[in-house]
Amino acid sequence: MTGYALLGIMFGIVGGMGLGGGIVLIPCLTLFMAATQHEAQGMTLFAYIPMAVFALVSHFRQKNVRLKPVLIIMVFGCIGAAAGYYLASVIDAPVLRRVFAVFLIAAALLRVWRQELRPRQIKNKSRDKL
Amino acid sequence: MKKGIKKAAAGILSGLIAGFFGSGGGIAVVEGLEQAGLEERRAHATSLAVIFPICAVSAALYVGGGFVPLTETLYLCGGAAIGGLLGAFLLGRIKTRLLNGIFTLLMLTAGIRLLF
Repeated sequence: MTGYALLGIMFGIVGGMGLGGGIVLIPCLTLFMAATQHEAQGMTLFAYIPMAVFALVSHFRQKNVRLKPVLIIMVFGCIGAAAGYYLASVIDAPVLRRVFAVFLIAAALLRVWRQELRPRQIKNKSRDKL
Repeated sequence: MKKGIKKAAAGILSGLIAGFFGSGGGIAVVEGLEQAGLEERRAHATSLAVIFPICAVSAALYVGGGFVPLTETLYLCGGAAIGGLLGAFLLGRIKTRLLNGIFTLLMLTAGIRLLF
């Protein structure tokens, strides 16, 4: 159980910074804790809730959050989530695990592009036109 | 109007990713928010808020499907709450570049390991 708590802390720190902790927590759970792919995904989603609550309180205080422009994204996101869960629930765990692996590699490559290769003009503008 | 459709599409996409993969929904959101001109720190913080209801819906569905073992999840959640506080405190105080690099490397390694 200590393993779970430690993984939770690691996930919380990275997730709390908005850098995406879940995507690494899932393979940790399947590789080190012998969870099935579906269990790892379910536990990660669940662990997101307390992490986000604590992180968000702090972010709201620092006025880092802009809620109004993103309401539409939230509503349609919930619809998409239900569809996504349904798809995942009808796929066998070993298959889902491999599809996830491809997604993980693609997401890693996207990060490399975002952080190292893309010109930085968007960040430097830093205007909230949303 | 066109902007609204784009936002709806970003929502559906991030929801699909979050529900299907159990994570990663924030990728589409952060990308969208930065494209819309939100500064990186705000984009990351706002993405947390956007993903929250999406995650809650997905988590509830996974619980309903019997995919969430109780004791393990409680320990994980306790750690995540502590880590979440630390992470929000650290954002903007430390350079995220190194952490990001380590993380990307972990993702690549885990992805390749999971394929076989």
